Amino acid sequence: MNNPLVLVIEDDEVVRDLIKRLLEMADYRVVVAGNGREGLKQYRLTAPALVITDLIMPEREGIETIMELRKHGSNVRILAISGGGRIGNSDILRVARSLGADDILAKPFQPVDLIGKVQELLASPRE
Amino acid sequence: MTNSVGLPPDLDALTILESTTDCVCVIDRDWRIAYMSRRASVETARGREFVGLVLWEALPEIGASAFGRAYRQAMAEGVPTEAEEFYPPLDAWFSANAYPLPDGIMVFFRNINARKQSEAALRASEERFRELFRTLNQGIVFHDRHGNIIDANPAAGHILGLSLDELRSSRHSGDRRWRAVDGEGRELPPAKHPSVMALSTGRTQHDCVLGIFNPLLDERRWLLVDAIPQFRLGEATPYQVYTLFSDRTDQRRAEIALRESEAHLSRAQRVAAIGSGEIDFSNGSWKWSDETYRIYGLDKATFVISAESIAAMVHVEDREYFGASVEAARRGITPPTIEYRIARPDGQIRTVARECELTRDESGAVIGVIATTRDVTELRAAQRQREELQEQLLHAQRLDALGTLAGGIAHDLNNTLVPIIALACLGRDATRAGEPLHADLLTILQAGLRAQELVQKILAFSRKETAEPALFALASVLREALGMLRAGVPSSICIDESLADIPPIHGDPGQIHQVIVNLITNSAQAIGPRPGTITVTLDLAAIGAAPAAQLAITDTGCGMDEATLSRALEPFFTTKGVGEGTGLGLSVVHGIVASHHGTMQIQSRTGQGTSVTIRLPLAPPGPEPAAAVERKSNE
Repeated sequence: MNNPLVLVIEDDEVVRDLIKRLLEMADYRVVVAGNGREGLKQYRLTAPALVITDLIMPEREGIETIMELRKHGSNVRILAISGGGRIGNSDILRVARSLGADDILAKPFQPVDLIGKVQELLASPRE
Repeated sequence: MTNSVGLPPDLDALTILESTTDCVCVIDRDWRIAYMSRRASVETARGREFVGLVLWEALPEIGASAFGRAYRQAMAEGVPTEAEEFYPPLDAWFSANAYPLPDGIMVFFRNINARKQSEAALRASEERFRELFRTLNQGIVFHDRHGNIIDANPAAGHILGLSLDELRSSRHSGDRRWRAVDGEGRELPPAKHPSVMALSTGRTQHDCVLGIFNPLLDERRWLLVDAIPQFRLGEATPYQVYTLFSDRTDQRRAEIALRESEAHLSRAQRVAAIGSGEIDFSNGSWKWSDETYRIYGLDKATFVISAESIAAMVHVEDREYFGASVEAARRGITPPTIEYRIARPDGQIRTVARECELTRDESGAVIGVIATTRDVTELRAAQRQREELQEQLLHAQRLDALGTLAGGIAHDLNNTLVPIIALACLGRDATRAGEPLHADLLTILQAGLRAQELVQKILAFSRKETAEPALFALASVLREALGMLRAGVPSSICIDESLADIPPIHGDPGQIHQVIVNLITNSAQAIGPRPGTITVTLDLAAIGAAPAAQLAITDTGCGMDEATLSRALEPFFTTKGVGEGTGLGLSVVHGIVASHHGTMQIQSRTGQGTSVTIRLPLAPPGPEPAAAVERKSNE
């Protein structure tokens, strides 16, 4: 099992399961978390190659999760996804990128976009 | 006629006696009537039948009368006597003179009824005059030709506060004790006193106002004085003068109080900016207070006030309304408060409010109107402004609420769309073209993508911040957008462009691109399948004092009516059919322009097209201002 492990942090169960399914269809190993706090725990337990995190979630916001990961010097690849909110989708994704996300993807997305981003990120390790 | 009574024997004497207007008779020593003149026979109405008879027998009532006594005295003592008495048998007054003759007496008598009557009339007249003089409440003072007081009535003493004796001892009515002043309160020299003036000029002095000190009341009293000179027949200078005066102190005080009250009212009206006026229906006259003249911008001295001259000042559009209010009052209907515009002589148009109350006589019939007039121009302007601000605030609050709502909805919708779109894709890839399920999944995918687009528009509307700001040339973004749009716009629509090369602006070119796309799309939809033109111009303009780029997009489409125009910027407001538009296009444009600190104006008329003019501030000269980004994110 040398396929890369991807951690998906997403509060919306339907979306979370869908992303897991899309990744598994593309032969990635997947662990999931329903919020930021749980996500950080999973990260420490499983040491994934890529974290896909939603940005607006209960318990712990995605941006905070990204900052927490980067604070501990982690070089894990991070893909931020968001359906936006009061301040606008592109804005929050831009903020996420500036705070440590390697790439961003707006919801809703087509499977090909998600898999494309994941492949790109895993192919170019963070310096 | 006999000589026995010693009458002159000549005929001339008899002739004289017969022709005299007095009645004459001669009585001899035996009291026999010797002669009666013609006049005497007429007066006694008995002719000369008494001649030869003894007086006491012929006229027995004479014996005990004053006449009888006088005759006996004249006869006995030989002296002339006279008597005067009412003689009942003839119902008349007579006077008689008896003169002794050597052998009798000669009596002259005459009817004095007329004299007696005029004497009685004179006495009655004098009595009336004295009574009037005594009881008149006007003072009367008589002065001789030197000004000395010769008589005065009790009222004069009462008014002047002096006894009649004190008055009569006064030198003249200019007596210094009275400390006389004229109507303005200035000391009045004795030579200027009305009575002295009447004496010196010989002319009547009318209605002279005089203040004198009344020692009894210990105060100044105000008199209204007439001085009338009197002349003897044929003389040019008066021999006396009388002054007639009344005490007007109470009236004068009332007049002063009234004047003060009027001044007070006038001042109060000025302070409150409320004028008043009256219409008298009996003669159609109008009366205004000073403040009403001021409100109308008129000069009281020159304006000829009348129903017509006032109506002419009322704004032509309000004239009928104003006239109806006056007419209603005339018919006894209290007019409601009305507001109308007036065109003042200085060119100002003012709005005034008028409140009326009817005036009625004792029988209740309407005889006029009393009205107040208030200038409400500023008040109404302030009210309008307040209403506009309230409306703007409400509009802003509504937009803000919608923005919050839209953001929340967008987030949830995007999450919901993830499985719809992703699973539709998976299903599409797992089925073969031509299979019914494949087509269904494609429809789901298309619907999902359309929903995604819609959500993006909602988010664009709710977004408060611009994207990465950059310096860019508006003209090139315009050309790029127009190039793309031309391909999608029907060929029946011509896009004219006139783009000046202007300095760059600072902002998000992507958003500005979106602005152009939205506006051109709207214009193309407004024109529809008919031929039409969309004109795009770019020029230099200003926002306040700051230089700005001005982008105008004008179409020849269907335009908007006022109601549509007033709601054009509201999110989700659309005139397009279901599926044709989201109602977000213009509100997104407005949001983007506002976030670029620009302004936007829409002009439109039904059937004549629409013109949207946007001004965006030019970037300040110099390198890319990094501070601008920071400033925005701190907002």
